[in-house]
Parts: sequence; structure tokens; C-alpha cells
Amino acid sequence: MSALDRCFRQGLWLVQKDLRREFRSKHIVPRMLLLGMTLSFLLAYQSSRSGSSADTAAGHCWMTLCVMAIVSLGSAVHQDHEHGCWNVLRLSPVPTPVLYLSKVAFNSLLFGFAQLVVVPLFVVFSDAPWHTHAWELSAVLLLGNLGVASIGTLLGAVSAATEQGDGLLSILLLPLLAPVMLASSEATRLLAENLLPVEWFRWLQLLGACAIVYLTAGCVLYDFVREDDC
Amino acid sequence: MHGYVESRRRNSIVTQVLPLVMVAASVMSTWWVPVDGEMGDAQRIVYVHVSMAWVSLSAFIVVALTGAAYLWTRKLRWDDWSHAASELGWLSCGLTLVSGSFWAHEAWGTWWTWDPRLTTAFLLWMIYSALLTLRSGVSDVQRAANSCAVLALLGLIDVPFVVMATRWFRGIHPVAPEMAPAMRLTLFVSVGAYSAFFLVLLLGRSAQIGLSREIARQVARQSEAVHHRRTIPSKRASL
Repeated sequence: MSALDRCFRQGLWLVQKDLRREFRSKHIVPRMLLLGMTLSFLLAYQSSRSGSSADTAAGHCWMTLCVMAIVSLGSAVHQDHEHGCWNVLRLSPVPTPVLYLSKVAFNSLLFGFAQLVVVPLFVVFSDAPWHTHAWELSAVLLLGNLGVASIGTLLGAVSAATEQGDGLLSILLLPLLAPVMLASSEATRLLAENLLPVEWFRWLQLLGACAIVYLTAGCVLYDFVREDDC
Repeated sequence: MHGYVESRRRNSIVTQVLPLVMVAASVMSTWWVPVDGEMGDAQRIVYVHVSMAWVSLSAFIVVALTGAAYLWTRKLRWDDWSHAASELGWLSCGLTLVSGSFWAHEAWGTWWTWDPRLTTAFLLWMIYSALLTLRSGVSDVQRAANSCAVLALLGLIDVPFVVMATRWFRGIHPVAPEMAPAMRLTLFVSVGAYSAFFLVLLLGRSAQIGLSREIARQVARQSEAVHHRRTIPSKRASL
């Protein structure tokens, strides 16, 4: 078995472990979805009252997703630290990038699930015509997802090392998540305005750049967080 | 303790020259430089605003580089620099935003606009704030240093965006505007004076942080020794 193959299997096993834990405990998904659905309903209702429903839908949608991501990341970190699971992972011989990427994959799956629920809700509630550009919307959602999961996983581990725990996560995460949020909401908004080729592609490039930079930084820096955390 | 004394000696030389440079910069920007034809006296804000912006960006580079040096060497001396630079950077970035807002009110007729340069500068200030909050949230010095170094390296990504925002994105913030030679000279002197001021504060504050950590360590050691002395006789008595 080659080293790459072994790393892939280890990563897959870690993702399966996290998914299995979530299926059993149902700690993250229900509260994340409830919060997201409530927020999307309230924001869409408020926008429709002020008559700017479709214009502001993209910003509101990504804001809702951002809040859901913070809740989900905080819960995931908390669960990892429960019953000493994180300490075992720290001592395990799994290479740090594999551990980091497996956590990113798990958070990305959770966030993808949130996107699958919330985006259609906004299409329905706000009458936003995003579904007419399904492929372009998928690209924005995918890159946005990767950006959020990569930086969120790293900062979730950083916040876990503090006394406040995941209470500090939103303060650390939001400034660094801002470029991803701005680019995602702008790219989604432009879909509704049919301003696709030039302007939209620039925001998509920014999203891609953020995802690549955050993933690379995470692979390098997670080692220091893993070493330090307890 | 030795580092603190050394920095005091170094500072005493710099602090004799620094007031002269600061006074020269203030006099030049207030009286000597000609009044701008379009904006009048409000244009003088630029000399403070640009200098502060320069200091805030340089400070973040210092924060990230010293953070990386800490991660590499694990010497807390680097973290003292990082800590001091993050405090000074937070202050100068805040002053950049405030002075820029006054300038924008005169130039554009609004206190704030969502220009890319303004937005990215505000994000930088938020990252600085997150750094300070993170540091205050961790009591263990090594762990705080580690977490802050990681966050500083991530936050460094914002610096090129602040610098290149006017070129990469459309905005209304001026990009290297034409200036009269006297204005240009005043700007250079102001930037130099504020940079020197930042350097002096950085040296002093980093030494102060190191000293306070050393005092805390000594106090902890002494109280431990006192506790040890108190517990040993009672144990002997019980035996």
C-alpha cells in the first residue's frame, strides 16, 4: 500500500468516524437546520416587507449560511474535545495534513447539507431567480463551501485552545471569513441580474483564491494548533 | 531585566531625536506645506492618514513575521514583539479609519463608503481586534503566543488586499495622486516621523511585556517557595 493510499484511507476513516458520531448523536445538524430555517424565514419576510426581497436575498442567504457554519463548527469542535477524543487524535500517527483535510471534508459535508436546505428556501421565499443558472450557482456554492470549511476548521481548533472555547469562534472567524462571504454573496447576486461573464467570474476567482490560500495555510498551520491544543 | 535596561539605553538616544522629527513633521504639515487648491486645509489630514496607514500595515507585517519566528524558535521574546506590534497596529489602524473618515467627509461628502480600500482596511482592524481578543482569552502564555501567531499569519492575507485594493477592484479611493514637490516632501517626512515613533513605542512596549512576564514568573516562583515552606513543617509535625 503506497503512502498516499494509506493517507487517503486514514482520512476517509476519520470522516466516516465523524459522520457516524453525528448520525448517532444528532448534535449538529438539527440545531444548525432549525437556526438556518428560522433565520431565512425571518430575513426573507423582512425583505419582502421592504420590497427588496430578490435584491437582498443573496446577502441574507450567505449571512444565514455563515451563522449556520459558526454553529456547526463550534459544535463539531466541542464534540471532538468531549471524552478526550481530540487528545487521542493528537497522539495518533495520522499525518497532520490528513487530519486537517479530513476535518475540512466533514465540515464541508455539513455545510453542503446546510446549503442544500437554505438556498432553495431563499429561492422560494425571496423569489430569487438563481436556479436559472444552476451550474454557475453550484460553482459559487462549492467554492464558498470550501473557503468556509477550510478557515473554519483551522480557527475552530484555535478557539478550542482558549478558555472561552467556541464562544470566541465567531470573533476570530468573521473577519477572515469576510472575503469569502462578500465574494459569494456578490457572485450569487450577479446570477440574479444576469451579469454573468466578466464581473461574476472575477468574484469567482476571488472565491477560488481564498479557498486555495486558506486550505494551504490550514495544511501548514494546523500542525501548530494540533501540537498546542489540549 | 537585561533586555529592558538595554532597550531603555537605546530608547534614550532615539527619544532625543524623535521629538525633533515629530515637531518638524507637524510644522511642515500644518504651516509650511502650501494649501491645496481644491480641498483647502482639510487636505492636511492626508499627512496623518497616510502615515498612520503605513504604520498599521507595517505593524501587521511585524506581527506576522515575529509570530512566524515564535512558531519557528518557540522563544517568547518574539511573541513580545508580536504582542506589542498588534497593540500599536490596532491603534494606528483605528486612527487611519477615523482620519480617513474625516477626509472622506470633506472630499466625498460622506463619512463612510464601501470602497474596496476602506472595506479591506476595516477588515484589517477587525483582524487586529480578533488578535487582541484571542490573546486576552488565553491565560497560558505559550498557548496564547501559539494561537496568536497562527491567526496573525492567516490575517497577513488581508495586507496585500489593502495595498492593492484600488488597483484590483473599482473604487473611489485615490491611487498615488499627483502632488506638488513640497507636499511630497512633507508626506515623506511625516511617514518617517510616525514610523520612528512606532519603532520607539514598539521597543518600549515589547520590553515592558517581557519584563511583566518575568515579574509574574518570579512572583509565582516565590509564592510557590513560600507555600512549600509552609507545608513541609506541617507534614513533619504530622509525622
